[in-house]
Amino acid sequence: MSARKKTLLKVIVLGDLGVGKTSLMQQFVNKKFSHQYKATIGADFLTKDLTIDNKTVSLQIWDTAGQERFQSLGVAFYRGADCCVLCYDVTNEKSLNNLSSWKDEFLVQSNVSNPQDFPFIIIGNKIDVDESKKIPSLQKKLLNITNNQLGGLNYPLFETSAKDSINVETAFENVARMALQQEELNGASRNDMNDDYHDAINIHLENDNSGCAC
Amino acid sequence: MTESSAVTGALANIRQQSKLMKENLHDGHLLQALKHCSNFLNELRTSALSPKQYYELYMAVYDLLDILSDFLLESNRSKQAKSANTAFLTDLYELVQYSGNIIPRLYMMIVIGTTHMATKSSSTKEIMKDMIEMCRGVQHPIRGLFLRHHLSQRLKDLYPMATVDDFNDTVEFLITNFIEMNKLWVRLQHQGHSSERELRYRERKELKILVGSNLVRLSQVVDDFSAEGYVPLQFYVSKIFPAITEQIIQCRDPLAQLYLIDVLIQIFPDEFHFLTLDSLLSDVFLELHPMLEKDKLVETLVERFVLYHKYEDSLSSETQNLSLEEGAKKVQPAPVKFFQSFVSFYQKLHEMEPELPAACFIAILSSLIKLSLTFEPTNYENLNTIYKFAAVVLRDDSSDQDVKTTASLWLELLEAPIDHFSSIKELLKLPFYHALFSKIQEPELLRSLGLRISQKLVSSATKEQLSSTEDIDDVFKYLSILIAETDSKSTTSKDLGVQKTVLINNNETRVSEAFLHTQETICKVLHLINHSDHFQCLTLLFYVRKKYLNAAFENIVFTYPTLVTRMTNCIRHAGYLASRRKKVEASDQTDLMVTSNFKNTSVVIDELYKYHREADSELVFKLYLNLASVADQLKQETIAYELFNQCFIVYEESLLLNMSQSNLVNPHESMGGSLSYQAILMLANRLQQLRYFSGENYENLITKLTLYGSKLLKKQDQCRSVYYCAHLWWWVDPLIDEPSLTVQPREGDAPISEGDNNSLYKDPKRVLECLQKSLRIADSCMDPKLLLKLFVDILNRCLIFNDYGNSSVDFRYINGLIELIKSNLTNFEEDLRNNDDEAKLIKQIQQYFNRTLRYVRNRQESEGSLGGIIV
Repeated sequence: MSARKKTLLKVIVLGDLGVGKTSLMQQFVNKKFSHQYKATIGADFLTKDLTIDNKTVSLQIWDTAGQERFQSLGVAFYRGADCCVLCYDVTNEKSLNNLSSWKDEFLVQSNVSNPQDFPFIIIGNKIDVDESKKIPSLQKKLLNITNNQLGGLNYPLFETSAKDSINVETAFENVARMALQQEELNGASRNDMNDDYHDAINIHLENDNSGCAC
Repeated sequence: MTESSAVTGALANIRQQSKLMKENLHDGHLLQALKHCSNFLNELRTSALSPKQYYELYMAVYDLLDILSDFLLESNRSKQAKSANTAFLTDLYELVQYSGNIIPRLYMMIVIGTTHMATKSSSTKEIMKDMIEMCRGVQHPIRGLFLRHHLSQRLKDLYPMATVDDFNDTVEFLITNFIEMNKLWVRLQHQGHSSERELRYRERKELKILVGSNLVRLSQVVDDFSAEGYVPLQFYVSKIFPAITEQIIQCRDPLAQLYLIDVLIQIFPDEFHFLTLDSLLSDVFLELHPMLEKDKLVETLVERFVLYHKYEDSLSSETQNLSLEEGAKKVQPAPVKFFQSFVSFYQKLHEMEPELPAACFIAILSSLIKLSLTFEPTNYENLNTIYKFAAVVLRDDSSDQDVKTTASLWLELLEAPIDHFSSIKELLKLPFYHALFSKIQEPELLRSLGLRISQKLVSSATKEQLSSTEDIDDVFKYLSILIAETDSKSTTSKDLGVQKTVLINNNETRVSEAFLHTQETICKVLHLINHSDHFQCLTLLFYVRKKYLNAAFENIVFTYPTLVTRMTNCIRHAGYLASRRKKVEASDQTDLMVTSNFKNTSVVIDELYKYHREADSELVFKLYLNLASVADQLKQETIAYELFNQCFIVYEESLLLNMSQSNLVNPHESMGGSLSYQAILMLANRLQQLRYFSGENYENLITKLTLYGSKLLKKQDQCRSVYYCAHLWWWVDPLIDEPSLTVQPREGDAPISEGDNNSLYKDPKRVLECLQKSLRIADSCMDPKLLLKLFVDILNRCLIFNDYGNSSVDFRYINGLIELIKSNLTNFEEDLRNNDDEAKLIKQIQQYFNRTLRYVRNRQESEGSLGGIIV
């Protein structure tokens, strides 16, 4: 392990119920896919270490409940997020249309310092399904949503299949890269402001003799 | 707010202390760091915060403890590098026990303990046991819940899972933690003053996910563990399910039970629930708190199964697409017969707690409908059973208020299957479906459902026909409410301005759009009545009219026209087929049937006339006219004669004095005019096509009509009616193959046959008489321009008859007429010089006249016809 403390990146995964948020994470972190559907209760995270541009980062990915009734304690865990993943299901038009409300909800609750250019990423899951079941004229609708000048979701988009492990790795690598940028940005701004509000987490363990004297 | 400022203050303190902790860690002063750590953990000792705010602190602290944990792990690694058996973490674990306050002490213990476990030391299980034992020290519900949540979150990836023993211990640990957390959670309800009960309830609702997340973890380890002979499903059934449900039942707390059952259903796979369904329903659901809304639980469960079915469906279709060898891999579970389980649950529930609100029972039943439709889409017996139960509930449900509140639920219950089926005939036949329907007292509900059913019938792609009285009964027993509808409410709602209304019948009646729409739908249903045998079809139509349609006169007005039209068409078909058959078979009683059907239909029109007389007698007139024409075509002379007489009666009673004009009122136009004039033309048109009348009857009719025409109110109408009627005496087209009865020589009469034209009825003298009569009428016109116009009209008629070869209308007569017009025109020469409207009109007439003359000239030159006319 390198002497420098690895960077912790916090990622929040949002989206309607049943779009496959948990499956995506399970596929990415544990390389597992289950056909059984289990609703997510509350919020839980998985961690995975990645190397991005010769830098080891620890990705802390928060899986959230798509159903509000399973999120009774609020969303305090949005705080300090470095990237937000908005998921939809390519067979479910409603989940696509709800993306922007998920984004708004995130920005309101997370209190990020740069809401204008906070890194979001869009993932369309379940591309393994039959073409016939997909949202009709999906590409056009996607364009409408992403290229809308007013409050559009002009963010990188990945189409994945958690089931067949298509594109999942790539998507999360991008997530990590974007999160890293955001983290560095935050770190820089924290140093500029030089207040104790946001203190950069930077621990050097160069001295082997440090530690408990007992 | 003091509370939010408390949070801000606490967060500021946490930040400050955490900064100091990090600095100390950085400098290697671990003890100092732990002191600061304990300081910020002290913030978690507060009782002043709501669960959500406490969660914010918790999240802030959690991240900081991560830093501590990472540091400890790293230090331990470097110490291990020096001596393999370093007791660094064990010592530290002991050390923090001397921390003064229990909350910081336990949080730090957990961090150090879990870090220790992460180093794969041998004492993992002891630490785990110790930690969970120590957690008992915190009995304050909110703090205790978060502490235990922290414990399970830290342990997330550290549970011992290597052997079966390990696994059992882990499960034991999780269940214990769950039970303890649930106890804390339930106890919170009973803390504080009783006036704060609502507040406690809200707090508990917020805290619920902490309890639920234990079960999530449990479900994960059950999935993750693998060992020889270990089957997750069996383990769940034998171990997890009994332990959890026992706790759920015993806590006797409605909120906890509702939530935990929901979680249990959501987080374990469907296959697990299939196996434990009976037990879940009858052993668990029935034992729950009586206040609990069990319908919600059933709904959750059914939703889950329905989702499963959908998913399995798509999965199986996918596997079919794959190769066959692959297809065997995913074994489809055998069709699960769990409907019965739900039914017996329902019966037991109804037995045990009959005083439950009806809404609860209805909700359960509608979940059952959903279930049955999903898994056994064509099992009508299931539906019948459900509706039987529903009917029982409805009977018990005596209080009026309840009916009002549950009204929409009843409707939902009955409507639920309608969209599911492509044909709802079977559904409507279910005895208990109708039993439930007929027990509903609310007319609004019934109406809405009736409309729904009829719309479904007419919109279904299969266009199913109603071809027996049973079919009709099955459908119309649901529609009778629509038929009896009187729309009397429209007056009040019109006053209130709520409902959009439509004016009909010459703006005399005001009905709501919805009412018209309903009537339209009923009419469409009438079109579904059909039978390959047209006589049978007629019987059905008369049946439906007698049994259902004559319930309210307002409806008769709207539905009878459709009915009569259908009847007329049926008679026409039936009679035509019968007459073709008669050519082959000698005797047949179909003649009699045709006759009686005509009579019956006429009665129906008569009934309509009774109610419709004021409103739209023209429609009645047309219906009679249609029927009369059909009667003639089927050679039912007596019937046809009577029906034409009916037309005359309607004309005389209702149309003659009807002053309403259609759009065109210009007297110079030969189209348009008064309703009575139109009626004469309509009659003339029909009469002109008659071919099976005896000469005597025919002449009676046409004479009568001409007479009526000549008695119209306005001169121009009289004049035009009469010259149109002239055509009735001069047939130009035989229309039928056989010689017409009308031109058969009558008894005592000299044969009128003249050469080869004997198959057409022609009476030149009467034609001339008519033309002369109309000329006389025109001549008595007061307006000279109108008079002139009518003259030219008549001239054109004369030319037509002359062309037809009518010897009475000869060139001398025509020349006289032309002279008459010419001399009349000269009277207007003065006016023509002006450039006003009058001059224009005259000019038009003049041009009309000139065109007529030019036509004659052309004909003379090209064909040599119309000879003798001087132009």
